[in-house]
Amino acid sequence: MTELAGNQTAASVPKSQVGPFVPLWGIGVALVVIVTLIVAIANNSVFGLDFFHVFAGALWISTDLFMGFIIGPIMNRLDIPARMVFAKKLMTTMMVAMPVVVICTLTAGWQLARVDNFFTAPYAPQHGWILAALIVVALLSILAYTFLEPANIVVLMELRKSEPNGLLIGRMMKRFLYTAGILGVLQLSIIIIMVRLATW
Amino acid sequence: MVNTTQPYAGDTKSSPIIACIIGTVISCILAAGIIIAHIPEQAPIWGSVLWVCIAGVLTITTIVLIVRKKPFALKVFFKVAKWVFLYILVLTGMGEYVIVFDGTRGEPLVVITIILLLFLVNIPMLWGFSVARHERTSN
Repeated sequence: MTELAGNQTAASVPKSQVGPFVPLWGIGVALVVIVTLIVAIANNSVFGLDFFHVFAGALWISTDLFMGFIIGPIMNRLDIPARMVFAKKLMTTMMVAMPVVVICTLTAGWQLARVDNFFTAPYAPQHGWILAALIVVALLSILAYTFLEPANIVVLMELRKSEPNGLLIGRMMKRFLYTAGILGVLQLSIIIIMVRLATW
Repeated sequence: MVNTTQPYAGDTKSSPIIACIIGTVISCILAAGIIIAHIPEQAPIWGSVLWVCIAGVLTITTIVLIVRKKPFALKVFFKVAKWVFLYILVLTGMGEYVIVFDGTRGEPLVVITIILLLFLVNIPMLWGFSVARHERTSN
């Protein structure tokens, strides 16, 4: 079985690549989204800000929950060669999509709070809930920037080598998926806070 | 690069560099949090300045530790860090844009700008280091 797994590694793991780190069309789409967000902010468009905040926020939360609770357990049951092939496709897409989703959610959310006058009235009744949201976002940021994304990049860099280190990839994928699970739980508290603010 | 047939799961030791960067990120978030928690009123700026100073000291410590680390795959570090820098530049640029757009001026704007600059330096270092530390180099 071990020998078979070794042969599988040689047969199915992609060879080293010298092309772009992430798909160029993805960067193009990301730029268009960010420019549209800047226009929405500049025009103080409530519809645009709401759209960006709700859509990107929902995407962020669902991705974390999906990665942590559905993809994670499935990945843990796959053998290393299969994990490597799957991780290559998954991580490349995540590398483009997630930063844009995070930028849209946070920037549009901040502006929306300002447009909805959550920051103008001194200690509005919602002030505590806004602070709670910011604290959860701070925790999310610390976990995402210090554990999740570095693991993502280590996997991507390793998969670009001619002989990827399966052990390192496995360890980093485990870290990535566990962190995504923790983020998913934190995201549930964000849902509660956002629903409370929306139904005030 | 050192070729070896030994199984290698990467650098599993806890690193002071990672600890310093996490400390910087937490200090920056606390510094920004003090200002944001007081909006729309004026925040006591000394609290934020204190956390920014701590973050600055930790950033300098991180740079010194990275420069002194041997062996270290500097080439891989810069390869990753430069792209991450570009991404964080967009992220912090958006942050600065909305803060200025919202009319924040004076000391809070200076503190927020320094916080964003610290992010701009630290996150690429963290991601670059996270990749480079697992490379086995001979230097």
